[in-house]
Amino acid sequence: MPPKRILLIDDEISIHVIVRISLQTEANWMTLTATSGTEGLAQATNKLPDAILLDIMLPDTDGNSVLHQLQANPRTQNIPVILLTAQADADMLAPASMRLAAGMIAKPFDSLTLAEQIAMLLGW
Amino acid sequence: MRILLVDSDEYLQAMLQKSLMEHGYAVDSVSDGESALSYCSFMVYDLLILKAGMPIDGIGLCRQLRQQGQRVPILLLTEQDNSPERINGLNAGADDCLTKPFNLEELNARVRTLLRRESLPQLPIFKQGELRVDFNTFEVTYSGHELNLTPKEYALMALFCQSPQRVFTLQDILDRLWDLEEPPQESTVRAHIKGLRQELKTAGAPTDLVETVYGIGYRLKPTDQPEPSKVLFGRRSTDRLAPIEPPGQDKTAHLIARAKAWQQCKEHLLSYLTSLKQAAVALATPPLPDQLQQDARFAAHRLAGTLGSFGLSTGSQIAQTLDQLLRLKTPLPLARATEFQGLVDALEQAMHESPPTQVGMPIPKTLLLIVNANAELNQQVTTTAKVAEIQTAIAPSFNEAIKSFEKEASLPDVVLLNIYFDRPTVDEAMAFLEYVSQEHPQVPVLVIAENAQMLERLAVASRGGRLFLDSPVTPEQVINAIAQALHSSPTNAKILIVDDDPYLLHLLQTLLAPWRFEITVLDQPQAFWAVLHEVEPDLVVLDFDMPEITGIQLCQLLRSDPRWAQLPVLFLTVYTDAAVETEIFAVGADDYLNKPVTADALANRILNRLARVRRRLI
Repeated sequence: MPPKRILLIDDEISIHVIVRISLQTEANWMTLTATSGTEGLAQATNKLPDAILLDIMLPDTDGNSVLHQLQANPRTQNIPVILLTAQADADMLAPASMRLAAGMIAKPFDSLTLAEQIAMLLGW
Repeated sequence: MRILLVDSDEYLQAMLQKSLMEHGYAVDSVSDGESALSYCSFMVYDLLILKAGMPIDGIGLCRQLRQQGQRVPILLLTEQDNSPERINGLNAGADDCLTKPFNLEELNARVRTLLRRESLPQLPIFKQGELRVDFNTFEVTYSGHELNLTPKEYALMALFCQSPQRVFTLQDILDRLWDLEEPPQESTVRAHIKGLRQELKTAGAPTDLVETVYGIGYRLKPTDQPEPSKVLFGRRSTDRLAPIEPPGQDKTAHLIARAKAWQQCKEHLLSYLTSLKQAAVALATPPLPDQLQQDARFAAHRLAGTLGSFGLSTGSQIAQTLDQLLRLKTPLPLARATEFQGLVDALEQAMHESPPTQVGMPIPKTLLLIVNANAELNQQVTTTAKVAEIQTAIAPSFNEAIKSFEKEASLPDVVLLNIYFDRPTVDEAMAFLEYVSQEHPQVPVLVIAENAQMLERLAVASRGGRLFLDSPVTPEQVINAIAQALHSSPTNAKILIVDDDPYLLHLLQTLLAPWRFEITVLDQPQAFWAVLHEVEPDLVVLDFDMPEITGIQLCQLLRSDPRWAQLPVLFLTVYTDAAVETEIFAVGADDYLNKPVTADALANRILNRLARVRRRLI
């Protein structure tokens, strides 16, 4: 079975680094990255990852909007999305996003268990 | 409440969106009918505002939505006072029409009216298991027993049944069931939930039929075997609780890779300190410019969300505190400015440390203060401490040592005090020892002395010296003694954790395993008293919000019994408001942590609390 491909949409480069290491060493998954909502939507449409980790705070748009656009696009609407959010940003989560997302992981996440948490949320 | 705005006029769209958002609504905007249909297919809106005329054809859209079974209230915006258009709109299923140009206040008034008019029930009779809700007669029964609900409790029940399995946040509930002009405190909602649960219990329903979903809100618990509520929420069924392994040998590669990654990212992350330092300077000479506050808050927020993932949990926690301070809308008083500067310094120090690359017994972030030692001992201990990831600070005099205790950022976790019994400084050393044991009893003091006699040892012990080391001593012996002082007692401490969320209990039990506490978890608060006597814990962790019996009630129970009145109690809560904090401390709790908690944070709070108790007992 080919390794899972996870698209991370987050504008913090250090998060790209730690997620890649975490998913690679713990689960042998591949990490695709995007630093903006626009880039993330394009990557999701073109590369059809197995799951998306979406930061709620993005430079060009907020995660709620990206999530809605992913859901509105027939090509991407079935890709499960897990929201990444800091406790302080919980207020920014639209209730609708909570319904649409497959789950939420709090920042800072534990790099040792990130892959396990994703697998558990998605039933993998 | 969420509104979809459909209008092709970008200017008007922006103006309406701004006005509606100012009135507290969440607003999505689209400029064409196709997008509107798409949004409506995956979103639940409380109201649609549609432009009637071309190019959108709001009337056609309205008809189409009604044909699809959409019951959402629709407000139609007509271009002019065009009676046929208004009539067609109303015939197509619109609930109200408003003619352009219109007054924004009138629009908002009509929106409020329509939202109030929205009927709660979507089903005439709701059934789930033994629960039955008749929306026509307002009757709620469980196993045939009628519940005697207040109007607000009924409204809550109806809301939960309207969207079974959907989780409603406190804000959702406030938005839907209370007038926007006079929203009550969140505690009022919780009180109504409690009342509803009590009525359900009286009728024989499970206590968690109205379920608390950790960190999110409440929902009607599904009848099929439910997924456990999570530290994280998820909508997919998880019929397994994946074992989460504590760090072990197989994690070494990960930890090494993480440490390398930290080196790679360190410089970039350190750059976030710039605005925080500038803010610290500006706070000392107020006012803090808005832009700088915004930049500093962004930086603190970034570091709070990032450092912990690299294993730098202390740095992450400090950044979180800075983030919270920078969110305050009122200017910080000068005293807080000093605290802010201290936190920035501590954050920088924490970021200059390396993340742990070894697993095993985690050493809580430790600051060792060395007092009155010679240069050689200072050098040797500092070098060895660095390897053990212990920070050191050297106080060249007793006055300097006491100053270290006056700032939170430089407050040591442990002190190494060198005493020369044959020199005049002995009195100063003894006075310092007394000062620490009386003013900072949680900080252990290790004493080094050469050729100390029994009376001299006695003098040290009676003044609170924790461990006595005969000089000469190797740096390794010093570090081992520090580890012993910090860890010996808490290891094997018995911790009882009470939470109605079995998943969280499982997670905490697993993640705290490296600290070697003897952990007992309990998801049935009603069994607390029996388990308490069986376990005889050294510390209790209580969830604030549990059905049937709350953490507050359990804490009151403990404090009312002489045997348990002094037992350390630590609360976990999702609530961050001051009222909850006051309530927690008012019932005699020792500490509290906001969920979601990290294992590091919880373990450190437990260790600190146990250390304080230990000092009290000596």
